Amino acid sequence: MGSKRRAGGRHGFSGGFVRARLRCIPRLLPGIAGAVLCLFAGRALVTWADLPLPGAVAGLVLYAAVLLVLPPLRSLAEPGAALLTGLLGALIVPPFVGLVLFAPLLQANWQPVAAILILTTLLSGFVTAFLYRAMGRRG
Amino acid sequence: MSLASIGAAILTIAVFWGVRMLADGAARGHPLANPVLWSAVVVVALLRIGDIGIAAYRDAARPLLTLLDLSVVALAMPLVASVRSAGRQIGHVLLALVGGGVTAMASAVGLACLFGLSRPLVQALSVKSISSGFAIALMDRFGGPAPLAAGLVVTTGMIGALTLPPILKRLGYRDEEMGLATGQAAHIVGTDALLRRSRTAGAHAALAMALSGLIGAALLPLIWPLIS
Repeated sequence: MGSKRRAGGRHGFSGGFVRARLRCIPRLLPGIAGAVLCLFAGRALVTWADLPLPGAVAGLVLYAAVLLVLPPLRSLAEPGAALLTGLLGALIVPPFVGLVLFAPLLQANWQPVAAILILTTLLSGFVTAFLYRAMGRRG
Repeated sequence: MSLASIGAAILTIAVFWGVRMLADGAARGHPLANPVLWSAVVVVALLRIGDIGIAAYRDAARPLLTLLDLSVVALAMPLVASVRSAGRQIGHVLLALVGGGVTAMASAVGLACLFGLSRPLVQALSVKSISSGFAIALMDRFGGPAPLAAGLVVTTGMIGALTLPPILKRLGYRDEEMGLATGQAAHIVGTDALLRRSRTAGAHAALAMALSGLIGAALLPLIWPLIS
């Protein structure tokens, strides 16, 4: 009896959960629409001015400029932008899986590649931390 | 968009969300519990079971790259928030990141040429210190090997996230400095790991990751003629 009621409650909860999610969609739209517009504007700008940049990077700069100049848009665009940045990890999975196709190339060169990855990662990290601390000390 | 593309998109996003929930629950914050790495392992295993070729999957998932471009554009939001919180320090932050970015690109390309590595490997290594969203967009723009670059970027992220925070902490660096260095050298993997440990270090890492992507996009056209 009790377990039945709990199951019913859970069912009700999941229906409410789906409805709550659907209600979120209008809140997501401004941030997504802003990103789409800036991506297209960025691509158009790169093609028009023949810039050596990916359209997405130009779009990012445009979006950041708009958000800096018009602060009220920030809270409006936040949910949609958060959804998109949350997808970032998932979207790099296919190219990462594609790395398997390069297995022969990597196997033949794994020692220098491993050495380069480890050395340059440590070196650039140390340089960044050192420079920031040194400039902080000088004020 | 074909049926195969829709299937590849659903498979990728479903596996990633599942793996991220598991990684968050089981090994919170550990850099080895990297959702991208383990999602790739699960996807490869599922493709093997379903007898689907890796190349076929990668081609079917190609429309997702447009969505990736949108995610890169949406990074404007955390970037603006971190620029505002960095306040007057932003000049120092920029200079430190330019120093780190130039070091990363120059040392990676220099060593790769010194070891006599092949052209695609040199090109992929040139963007190893730029977050994968930027690296893939840059490789697409310049005609470099995007999958190879993406793989090396994620591997770099894991090396940096595992090594830099403990070493810099031991050397007496503060959370801000450690966060900036980890975000620069270990981009999204390092940022993700730090965000769960320290708010200050995580915010600095996010700022470093986004700005380093922009710095890398500005630097790459300068060296591309030498390596293409």
